[in-house]
Amino acid sequence: MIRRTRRVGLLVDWLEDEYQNKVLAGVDAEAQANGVSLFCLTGGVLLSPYRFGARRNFLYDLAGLACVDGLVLMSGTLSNYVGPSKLARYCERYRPMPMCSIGVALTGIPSVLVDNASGMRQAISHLVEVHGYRRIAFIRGPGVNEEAEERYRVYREVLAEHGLPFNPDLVTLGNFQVASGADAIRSMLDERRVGFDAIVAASDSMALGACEALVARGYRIPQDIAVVGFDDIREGRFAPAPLTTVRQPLDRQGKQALELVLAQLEGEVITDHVVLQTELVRRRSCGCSPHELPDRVLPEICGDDLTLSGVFNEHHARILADVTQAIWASSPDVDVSKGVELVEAFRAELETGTDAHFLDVLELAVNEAAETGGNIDAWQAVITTLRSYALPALVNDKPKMSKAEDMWHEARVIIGGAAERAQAKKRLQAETWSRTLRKSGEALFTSLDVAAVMNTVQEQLPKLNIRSAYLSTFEGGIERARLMLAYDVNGRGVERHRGESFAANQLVPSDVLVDDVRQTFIVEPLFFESEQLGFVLFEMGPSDGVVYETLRDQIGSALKAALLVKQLVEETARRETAERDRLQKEMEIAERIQTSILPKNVDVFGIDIASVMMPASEVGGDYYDILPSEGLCWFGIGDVAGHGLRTGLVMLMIQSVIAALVTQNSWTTPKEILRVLNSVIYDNVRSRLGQDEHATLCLMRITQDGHMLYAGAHEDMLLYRARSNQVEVVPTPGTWIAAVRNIDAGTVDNELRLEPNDLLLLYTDGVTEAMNEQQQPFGLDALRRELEGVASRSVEEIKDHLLATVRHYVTRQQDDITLLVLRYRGTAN
Amino acid sequence: MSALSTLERDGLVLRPRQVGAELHLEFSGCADIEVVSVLPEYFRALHAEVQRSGTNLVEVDLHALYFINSSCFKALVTWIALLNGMPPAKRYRIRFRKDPKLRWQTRSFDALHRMSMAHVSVEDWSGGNP
Repeated sequence: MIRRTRRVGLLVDWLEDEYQNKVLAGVDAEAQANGVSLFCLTGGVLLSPYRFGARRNFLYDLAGLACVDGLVLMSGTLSNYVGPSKLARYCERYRPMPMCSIGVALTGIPSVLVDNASGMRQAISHLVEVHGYRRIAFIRGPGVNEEAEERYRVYREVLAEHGLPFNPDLVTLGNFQVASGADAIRSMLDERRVGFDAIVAASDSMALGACEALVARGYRIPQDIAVVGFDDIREGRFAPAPLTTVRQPLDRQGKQALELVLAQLEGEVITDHVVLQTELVRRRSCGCSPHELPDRVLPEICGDDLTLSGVFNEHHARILADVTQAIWASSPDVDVSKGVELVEAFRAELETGTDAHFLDVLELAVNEAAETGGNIDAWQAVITTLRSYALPALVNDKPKMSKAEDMWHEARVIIGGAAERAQAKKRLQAETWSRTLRKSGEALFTSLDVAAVMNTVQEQLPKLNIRSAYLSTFEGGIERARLMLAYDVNGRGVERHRGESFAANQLVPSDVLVDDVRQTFIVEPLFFESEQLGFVLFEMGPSDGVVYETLRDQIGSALKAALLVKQLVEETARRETAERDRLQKEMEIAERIQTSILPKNVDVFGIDIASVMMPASEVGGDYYDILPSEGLCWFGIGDVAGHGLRTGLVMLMIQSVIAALVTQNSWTTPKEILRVLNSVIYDNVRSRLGQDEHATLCLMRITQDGHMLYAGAHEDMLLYRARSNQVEVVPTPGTWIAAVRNIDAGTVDNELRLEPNDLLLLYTDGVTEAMNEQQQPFGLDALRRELEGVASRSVEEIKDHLLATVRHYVTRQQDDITLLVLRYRGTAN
Repeated sequence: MSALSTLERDGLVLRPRQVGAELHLEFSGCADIEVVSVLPEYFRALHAEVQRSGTNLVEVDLHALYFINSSCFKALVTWIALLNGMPPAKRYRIRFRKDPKLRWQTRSFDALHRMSMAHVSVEDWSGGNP
C-alpha cells in the first residue's frame, strides 16, 4: 500500500509504566523527526496467564500492512510469558513488513538491545566494594525474559567473584511490576525469614515496590537495607531515598529501533543487533551520600600561590568531566554542554569581576532539566563539584571567596526553588489529569446508551488535550468494525464517517486520516472481561500513558454497560413482540371459540331474531346464545370480564353448562340454571384454574305465550312496546357468575309479559361504552333513541342500523360488540 | 394521612384519605383499558393497608367516576372476593357512594353489593364528603 506519509506500528503491552512511556517517547521523537506517523498498539502481554490477561492480545491481530508499513516490537514487555523463540514465531505473521525488536534478541529480526551485564556488574560490585554489603538479595524478572535472566546471571557471577555465598532463599521471582517487589519482601521476611543488608531488583518498579514494603515494616533505606534497581525510571529519582539504579537509555532504544525500521523501508538489509550501553547511577538508596562527588578521588590541589585560573587551567578536563557526570546523573536528557558553559561563566565572573551570567546559565540549565523531568536537585552536585575545585584557590583571596560563596549560595537557592516548582507543577498536572479523568469516569458511567457514551467521550477529549480520536466496535468477530465515534478538533468533517463499516485491520475507514499529515495515535483495545468490544485510537496528547489506559478502562466499562442496556432493550422488545404475537394468536383462538359456537340460523317459532357479535382485537368475552325448545326458547347474553384465551375458555364453559342444563330440563327457571352454573364455573375458575374471571350474565326463558322469566346481572335490557311506541329500560338485578361461591341470595327470577310486536334489545357493554374521539361513551340513552327511531323495521334492519350507528360513532373498537334483537310476534303467528 | 398513595394514571385518579377509622377513597376520571394493569395491585395494597391500620370502613366516592370498563371493574370484584375470603372478624365494610344519574353505576355496583350483602353497601352520593 503506497502512502504519502509512512506509518509505523509500535507493539507494547500497555502504557501504565514509565519504561514503556520512555521507549514510546523515543520512538515518537524519531517518528516526528522523520515525518512518520506512529500507531502504538497496546495489546497486553502475550498469552498472559492472569485472569483475562490475554484479553487485549487481539489488538496485535490488527497490526499489518493494512494499517502500517513497519513495526517496532517492545519485545521485553510482550514476551514475559512466551519467551523469545515463541515471540519470534508469533511475529512471523507480520512478514514481509520490516520489524525491529527492543530489549529481546529475536531470531531473524534486527534488535536493539542493552548491555545488561555491564550495568548490573557495576551495581552489585558497587554494593560489595564501596559499601561492604555481604548479604545481597535479588528480585528476578520473569523466568522467560532474557534480559531479566542476564541480570540474574551477573548477580550470581559477581557474588562468586567476591567470594560471597549464593543463598537461593535470597532470590525471588518477579514480573517487573511494583507489586511483585512488595511480594518479594513479604516472601523473604515473612515466609523464609531470611535477613539481608541489600537488595537488587531486575527493574526499578520492583525495587520501588520493595522499598515501600520495607518502609512499611519499619526499615530505613539505606541505613537498614540498601536497594538498587534497573532502568532509571523517573519515579525512582523522586523516591524518599532516591533510587540507585542501572540506567538503560530507554528513549534511545526507541529512537534507534525506529531508525532501523525506516532504514529497512528504504531497502537496507540489517542483520546485526545494536547494543546500547548501561551505566550505574548512584543515588541515596545504595548508601551513597546526597550530592556526593563522582565516584572518583579529587586530585590533590595545594600550594601557597594557587589561583583560580591556575587550578581551572590545570584541571580543566577533570572539572568538565566531573561536572558532566553530575549533570548526566541528574537527567540524561539535559544537554551536557550546559556544564561547560556553566564552568566558564563561573570562572569568568570570578576572575574578571564582570557579570558573566553564571546564575542565568544555571537557571536555563535547571529549567531544561525540569522540562525533561530530570532530577533538578541533583544539580546541587554540580555546584558541589565546582566548589570543591575552586575552594583551595580562594582561601587566600577573601573578596573572591566572598563573591564565590554568594554565587554558590544563590545557585543553591535557584536549584532548590526550581526543584520545588517542578514538583508542584508535576503534582498540579497529576491532580488536573486525575480530576479530569474522574469526571470523565463519572460522566461515562452514567451514560446508558451507546450514543450517549460516544457523546460523553467526545466531550472529554478536549479537556484531556486529545486532538482527535476514533472509536470502533466489532461487528460479530474482530474482522470487521464499525466506526462509532470520529472526532477531530480541526473539524475536517470526520464525523460523516460515523457508522461506516470497515475491515478492522485498517484501524479506521479509508480516507478518515489525512495521508500527508504525520500523527501519533495510541490504539487501545476495548474489552470487558473476556469480551472483545472494539478499539479506540487517541491522537497522542498527554505524554503520560496512564491517561489513555484510564480512558480505555472507563470507555470499555461504559460501552459494555450501554451495550447491555441496548441488548436488554432489544430483548425486551423481542419478548414484547413475541408476547404480542402470542396474544394475537390467543386472541385469534379466543375469537374462533367465541364465534364458532354462536347459534346459526336458529328458527324459533313466534320470535324474529337478528344477532351479531363483533369481537374486538384485544378484548373478548362476549356471549350470547339461543336455545329453542318445545314451547319455549332460552336466550342468554353475558360478558366475561377480561380478554384473551382464558376469557374465551370461561365463556365456552358457560355456554356448555347452560346448554346442558337447558337440554336436561328446559322448563327449569333462569335462577336455578344460574345457581348451578355459578357453582360449576366458580369452582372451575377459582379453584381449578386459580384465576379470577367473572361474568355478567342474564338468562331469559320466553314461552310461546310471551311470558318471559329472566335472572342474572347484565346490562339493562331495552324493551320496545309496540302498543305505546315507547322504549322501556329493564334492569337486570343480580350477581355475576363466578364472583362469589353462592349467588342464591342475590339472584331472583323476574317476570315480564311480551305483547305481539314488542321488541327486546339485548346488548353488551361494547355497545354502550363505545367511545368516540372525545372519549364520550355512546351510552344507553343514545341506544334507546336509535331503537325508537327504527323499531318499526325488521329485526335484521334494526340490528344493521344499530351496528352501523355504533361503528360510525366509535373511533377504535376496544371491546366486543354484541347485539341481539328479538321481536315477539305473538301466538297467532 | 393514609399510607396508601394517590394513583394518577391515564385520566384516572384514586385519592385515598384516612379519616379516623375510615378510609375514604375518591375515584375520578375514567378507568379504561390503559389502567387495567395497575388497578388489581392498587386494590390489593388498599386491602393490606386497611388490614394493617385496623380501618373498619372504606367509603368509595364514585360520583366523579365517569366510566369504568369491565376489565377494570374486575379489580373491584377481586377486592370484594378478597374481603369475602377473610375471617369474619377481619372483614371490614365497604360503602360505595354512586351517582344516581349514572345508570351504569347503579347496575354495576348493585352487583357488587350482591357479592357481599353484609359488608358491601351502595348508597347515592348526595354531594360533599361525609
